[in-house]
Amino acid sequence: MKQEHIRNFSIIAHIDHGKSTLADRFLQVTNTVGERDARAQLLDNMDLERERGITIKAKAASMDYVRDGVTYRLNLIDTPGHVDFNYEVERAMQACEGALLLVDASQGVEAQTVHNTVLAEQADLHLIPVINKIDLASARPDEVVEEIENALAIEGERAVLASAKTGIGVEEILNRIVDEIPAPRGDKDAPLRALIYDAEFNDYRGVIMHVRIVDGELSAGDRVRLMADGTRHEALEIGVFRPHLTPVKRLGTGEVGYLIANIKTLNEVRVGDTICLEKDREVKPLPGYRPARAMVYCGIFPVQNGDFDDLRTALTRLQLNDSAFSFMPESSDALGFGFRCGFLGLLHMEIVQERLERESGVDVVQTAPNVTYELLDNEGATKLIRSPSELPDPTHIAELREPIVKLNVVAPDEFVGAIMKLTIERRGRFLKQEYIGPGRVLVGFRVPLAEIIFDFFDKLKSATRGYATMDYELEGYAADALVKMRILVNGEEVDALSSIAHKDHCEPRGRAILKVLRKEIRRHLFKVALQAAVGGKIVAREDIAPVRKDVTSKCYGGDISRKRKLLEKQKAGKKRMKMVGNVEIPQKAFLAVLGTREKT
Amino acid sequence: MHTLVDRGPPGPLSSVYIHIPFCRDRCTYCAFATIADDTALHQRVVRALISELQRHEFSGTWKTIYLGGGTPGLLSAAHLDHLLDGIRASASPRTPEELTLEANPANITREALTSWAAMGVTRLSLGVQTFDDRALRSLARLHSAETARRALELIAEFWPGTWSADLLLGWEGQSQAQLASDLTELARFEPPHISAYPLELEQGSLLFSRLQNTFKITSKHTETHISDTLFRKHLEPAGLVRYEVSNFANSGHESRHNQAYWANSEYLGLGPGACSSRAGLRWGNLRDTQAWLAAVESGRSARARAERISPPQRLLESLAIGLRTAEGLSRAELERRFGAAWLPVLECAAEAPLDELGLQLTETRLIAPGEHRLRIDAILSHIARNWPDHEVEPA
Repeated sequence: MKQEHIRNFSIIAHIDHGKSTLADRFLQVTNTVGERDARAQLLDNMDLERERGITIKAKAASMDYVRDGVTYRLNLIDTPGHVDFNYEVERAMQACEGALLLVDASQGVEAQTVHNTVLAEQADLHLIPVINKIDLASARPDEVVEEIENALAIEGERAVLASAKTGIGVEEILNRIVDEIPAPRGDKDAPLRALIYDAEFNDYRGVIMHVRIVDGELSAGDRVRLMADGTRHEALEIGVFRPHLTPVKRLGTGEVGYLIANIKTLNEVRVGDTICLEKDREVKPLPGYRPARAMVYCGIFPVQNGDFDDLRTALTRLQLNDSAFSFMPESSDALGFGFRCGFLGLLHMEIVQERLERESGVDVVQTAPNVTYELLDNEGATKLIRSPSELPDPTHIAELREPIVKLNVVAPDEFVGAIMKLTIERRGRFLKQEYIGPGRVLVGFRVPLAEIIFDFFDKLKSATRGYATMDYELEGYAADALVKMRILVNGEEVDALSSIAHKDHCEPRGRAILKVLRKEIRRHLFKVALQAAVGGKIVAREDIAPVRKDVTSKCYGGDISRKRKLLEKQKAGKKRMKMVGNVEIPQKAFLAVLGTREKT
Repeated sequence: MHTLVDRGPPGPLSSVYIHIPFCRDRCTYCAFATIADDTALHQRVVRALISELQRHEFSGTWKTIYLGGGTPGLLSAAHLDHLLDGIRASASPRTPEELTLEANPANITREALTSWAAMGVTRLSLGVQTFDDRALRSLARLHSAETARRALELIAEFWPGTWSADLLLGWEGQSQAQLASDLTELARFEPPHISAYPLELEQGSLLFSRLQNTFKITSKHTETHISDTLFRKHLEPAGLVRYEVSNFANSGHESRHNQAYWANSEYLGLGPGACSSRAGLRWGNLRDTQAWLAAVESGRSARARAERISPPQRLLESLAIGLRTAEGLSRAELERRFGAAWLPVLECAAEAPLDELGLQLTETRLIAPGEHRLRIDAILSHIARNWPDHEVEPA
């Protein structure tokens, strides 16, 4: 394929705006797949993706399209829509020259659309706006055109009106791709430089690298080098996505395809790395990507302690095809041995959990998420804090910083008051409010990530009757009056229940935690005092009164065994208990406090 | 090193419980092995009880015999006489120190009392339950409050032996005031002994199947024990002593049979569903009357289940039942039976000084004093959580 006949593009869209349907339609129109083969949403491989209607991993498809008698090779690189997968989006965009900006004709521009448009512009992509689902009765294309102009600063009249479902406008989109998106630049005579823009793991074939040939060409059997680590491999198989893996002998400049090189684990491949031929010594690597950084952590523990190894195996497998997911062993006083897991964001966390359940069959308990804090100690060194238990004594802390995000919320304007109230309660600072179309506003805030990772989106949805969409982007770290709140049971600290909170929030939060504990801890022979403390100061307290009477059991006609067996059952109960001093705390209490869900 | 042992019960087997499985009607709370009254079966059951005893090859002294049920009072004088003769035939001397008969107020007549006394019954246990007629009806008891009063009057007038009135606590809707009025009324008859056990929801009882579909047991809202205040006000003035959590007696009128249980002694149980404890084993009989009959009549064992009680289990039991009594347990007897390890084992399991838990170790006894005895289940539950599984060598 001649370089000038190649077009590499991606599709930017908010969840549910019809990206996968459009991609499938392209595959049919270009006869890449036959009508009968077309499963709905061919590009979403994982069950999870298909079920949730979201794209998690970048996908690719090569299609041949004839325009004015010339055959063009259109390479679609499908990208995830959610902010958690920014890093995937950025990588995929690096492999493209253009993008379709897909907007739902009734939903209009959403927070994620804005965010991803900015990314595309930063990557210098040529954008073609597409207003999808115009066949729906609720379509309001004129208003959406206006929203595109206001919110995205893109000429609305350039938008293609389309319906991926019925096929309206699909040919026009393909024509516009050919006409407007530039052919890949790149020197076909220069030494090979190929960009790894994604990688996936396959049980039978090992790592499959998704590559874009930037300069030169790659042939099957070539000896190649991954430049970051200098590892050498043989290109056992190269090919293109049609959309199934289809081997070819050669990938030329500007082409997109895959490379299989007998690599066993994803850890050996760095997405963003440059591939060159082993023999070329003087090649300069392509600019890499910034590595994905886990922003949200939670603990994942096996329900049965004996499942620890199975859980490790399952997590390792997940990591094989999700290099952004990280985990390390952790032991909790309350929950035993498990793992501290890092995620890009909340959706990423949910997806990993679901995959874990689905693919491993290990029953796990998951603790409430927390963010990564940055600690400045008295010596001026900074350290990342992933769990409250890592915090040193307050006297060693010069400053405690937390991740701050820029939050954009898009919603009908009648909800601005509710959005403001909710966000400001969460320590948000109002930044801006813009009308992006008739009656629709974008409200921007600066807000601590910790405040939005737990239940913020649920609260936002209910405050706006489901209309609001949100997106956020990490801005940096900022110090605030953050303190460690400890929970004491009869004066003894329960490490697993410690949390980091803003000092103004400690009292109500402490009170809420103690209320839950009070409900879950049974009465003892003595009074049990529950306290929430910040430093030496008690901010909340609850007492559990001692048992005063308990004489209900007797023995019938000499059946003493029965009585003894009732007592012996206590022993089994105790195994699920955590002793703090001489107070028994059931695992249920930890789960209730940590706001966790028990998966079965 | 010290290890828990079980050197056996304080004395030889000398207590027998005989289960008479007949009832006129089934009380809603009852999960005992009973069948509807069928006089044709009486003769067979009586014979089977005697031959079951013979299988055990007992020769010794019956200090206590307890006829429970069921409704032993339903047996005719002739059948009862026959049964008691058979039981006593193997024993010498033939007269036990205590021979208790459980009776329903509806079966109390002057004639019955006279004939029971003539047969050697020394103690009656009368199922009064309550004087609240609505409660009696809902529990499907056969008698009314009036019947109970008449029975109590007859006993007061004609019964030569000692007796106990049994009260039921914790039934639906029972209030503190109702319990107080039951106690006031009962005290008028000057009972030498009162047992007051809470109603328990037993799987297999009518009440259980009725309540499990409608609402939960109401014990939280009703009285599950006689409080110290009620005891002081209504029972103490009559000279009754709370010698066990649920039992009150004038001096000398304690239930010797129950005291044998509480000392974790050996006992033999005859009849369907009866439990026995002998030679380190504890077993329960087949609960179904027909199955039990079939086994005994064909010369087979009537045991449904048996278990060997390990020393730690035995010690836990001894504590669980012994600490309910006012006098608690004798340290000398604990040491004799379980060895010196009993105390370190208990202290380890307690995880706290014993007095913090509410147990008192005097020079000679281990007791749960005063108010602590009213939460003894909680104390034992705490101890049981750390109880050793097998014989342990305390550190």
